[in-house]
Amino acid sequence: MNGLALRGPDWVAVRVHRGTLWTAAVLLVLSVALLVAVPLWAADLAEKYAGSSCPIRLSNGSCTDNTWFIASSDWAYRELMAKAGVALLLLPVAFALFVAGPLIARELESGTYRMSWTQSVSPARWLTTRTVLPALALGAGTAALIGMYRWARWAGPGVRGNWYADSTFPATGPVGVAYVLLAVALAALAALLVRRTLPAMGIAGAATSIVIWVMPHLRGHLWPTTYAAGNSPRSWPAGPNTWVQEQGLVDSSGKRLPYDLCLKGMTDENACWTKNHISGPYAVFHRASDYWPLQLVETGIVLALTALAAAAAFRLLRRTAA
Amino acid sequence: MIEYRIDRRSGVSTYLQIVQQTKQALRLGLLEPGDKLPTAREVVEATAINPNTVLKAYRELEREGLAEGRRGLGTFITKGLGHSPPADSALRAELADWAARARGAGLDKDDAAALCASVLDDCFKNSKGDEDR
Amino acid sequence: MNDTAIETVGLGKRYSRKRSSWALRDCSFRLPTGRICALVGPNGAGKSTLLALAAGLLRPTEGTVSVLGRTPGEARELIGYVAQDKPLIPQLSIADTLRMGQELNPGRWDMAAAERIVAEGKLDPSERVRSLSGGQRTRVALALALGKRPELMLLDEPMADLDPLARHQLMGTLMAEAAENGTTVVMSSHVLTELEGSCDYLLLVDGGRVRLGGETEDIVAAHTLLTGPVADLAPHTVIEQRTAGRGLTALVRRDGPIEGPWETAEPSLEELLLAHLRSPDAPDLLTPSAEHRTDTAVRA
Repeated sequence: MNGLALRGPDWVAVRVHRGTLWTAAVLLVLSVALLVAVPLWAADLAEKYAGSSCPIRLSNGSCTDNTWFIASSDWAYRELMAKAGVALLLLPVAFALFVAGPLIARELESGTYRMSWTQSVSPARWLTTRTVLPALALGAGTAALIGMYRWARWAGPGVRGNWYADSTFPATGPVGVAYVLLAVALAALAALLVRRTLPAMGIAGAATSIVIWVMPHLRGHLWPTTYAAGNSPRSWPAGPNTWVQEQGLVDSSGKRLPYDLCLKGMTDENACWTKNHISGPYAVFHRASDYWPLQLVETGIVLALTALAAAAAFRLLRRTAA
Repeated sequence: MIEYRIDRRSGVSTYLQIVQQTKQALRLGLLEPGDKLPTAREVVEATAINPNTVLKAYRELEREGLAEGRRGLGTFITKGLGHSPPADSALRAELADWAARARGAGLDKDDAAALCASVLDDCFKNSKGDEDR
Repeated sequence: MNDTAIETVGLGKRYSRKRSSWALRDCSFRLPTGRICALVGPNGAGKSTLLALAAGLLRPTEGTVSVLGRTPGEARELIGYVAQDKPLIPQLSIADTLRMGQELNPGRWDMAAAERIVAEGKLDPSERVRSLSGGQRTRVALALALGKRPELMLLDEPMADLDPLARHQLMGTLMAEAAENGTTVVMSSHVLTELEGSCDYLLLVDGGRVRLGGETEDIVAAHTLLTGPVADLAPHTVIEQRTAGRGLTALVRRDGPIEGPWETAEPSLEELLLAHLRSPDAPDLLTPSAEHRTDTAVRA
């Protein structure tokens, strides 16, 4: 970290936040180690015992200890993947707090910006150091974690979460990195707007959280869905590993009816189907192959928001200082 | 080398204090032709006065032909003040004689100094004006 | 060669949109280079605002300010600025603070000069900024500002909160650097006596405008203190007068020689400033060197 040939304001920023950077680096290494070790351990145990007479979750009473051991490794792996997914989802909020507070607003609040801006370096360069540098570092760190997370999903003993789950989707693709960049830009904007540490952290954290909370609600609409209808009452039209957006019953004229039309009350289900001329169930869904288009469209939207926030922050700065 | 003492409450302007102290040092033989005056930097570092004031005082000394600025080297004394030592000691002896008589006549130190100052005032009034103004 | 350190034309700064909240208004003056200028005025007069505008930390609401013939932003490399609270990064050591000066002023930084200023204060370079006393902190802030070899030094209340010894030492250090490099220095203070011996130029800011500007000697010489019988003082401009019975004491700005039954004296700088502060309606005085020359300074 000190070996890097950083010059000028970049050197200053790294020197001032040396402690935080070391902590972050240690946490990154620990996270990567966990994401390597646990899936390998769980997969190894699962493989070992798959060939034995004591397959997982099938205990005949003779190998209870082993079953327990395997199950606990399996449980540990699943817990890790769930927690790591949530952590990756919330990471941008933590970054927003750091950039808005200690990195930018604290300097504006304490007045040290007057020392920084009256060296031979312009305020715009000062802000560039405090946005581009963390964006690069945090973006790279997050990309590494996302890569590890994807690997861990692949290397583990086959108990992966759904690709579209709210805590899985951003943890497995470029959109996770885009959120980090957006968090940095929103943090810079918030810090320059209020110029005080705690309020800036509050606003930046809230704004980032709102985006992270809103986007999953829009996610399903970001790419065209597939419609399929079954032609018999019990056939399920969407295949496995699909992300269902809407489901119900469809009648012979093609009209969509609620899926629970014939579950209400005590009516005979078959009679109800016949009475309503229902031809079968239907589903509107995303196939697994929609994963990359969805990732890329959402990444594009988040990056556009990032550009807007960053432009607003630099504009605000230019209006403040000469 | 001379060290200037600046008295802010004396009512005498700072640059004049420097000029007068330099002349005093010349009269007393503390400075002689060829001696270097302290640089403006050295003076202001010790006294915290304005550097332009020091430069102004040195220019005044140059104007009076007492000092000379040499580019990149500093300001040097070019001419002594005061009189040749024999004449000086003769005058001093006369004055000492006078002081002894004044004391004998019952004057105390302040009376003698006042009398002396008054005579000097009369004597030099029309010769050169107030020499530093 | 540019001989103007600061020039403002119609400069104004308002912090909020509310009316009558101008920190500085209609401020026009010129400061020639090579001067040590005292920027004096009561608290809240606009001194800090003026310095921050010149340092490029604020944008003017109206009017223009130019520094060494450029906008303050363009002149950034040439300006040294120390804010009133001497902002430094508390967790850095003195050595790191100077290294920061080097990193932030590439091509200009004079490490030897900065280290000398620190050493003159007998400071340990490994000491952290947060543990320094007021005087030591001021010394490090001055070292950081002087290390970049500025052509113009802007110091906001540099000597406030310092004991007399530290004040004398630091003023000496500052004057020595100015003497060696021909730096123009602007120092603000609401205590004139702090600056009187060191400054040869004066700007009196009061109520958001510059009321007196020019060489200290010229400003003092333009005024006379009169005592004597009550009489018409025309054609001289009366700055302040007081009558007691048949007696009169007045500070006037002369217009021609004083003729009349008065005793005259040259006012002290302090008397002069106090008289102006007590008489807000007295006309402004800018000596020729302090008059702005251009219609607009470089647009900021």
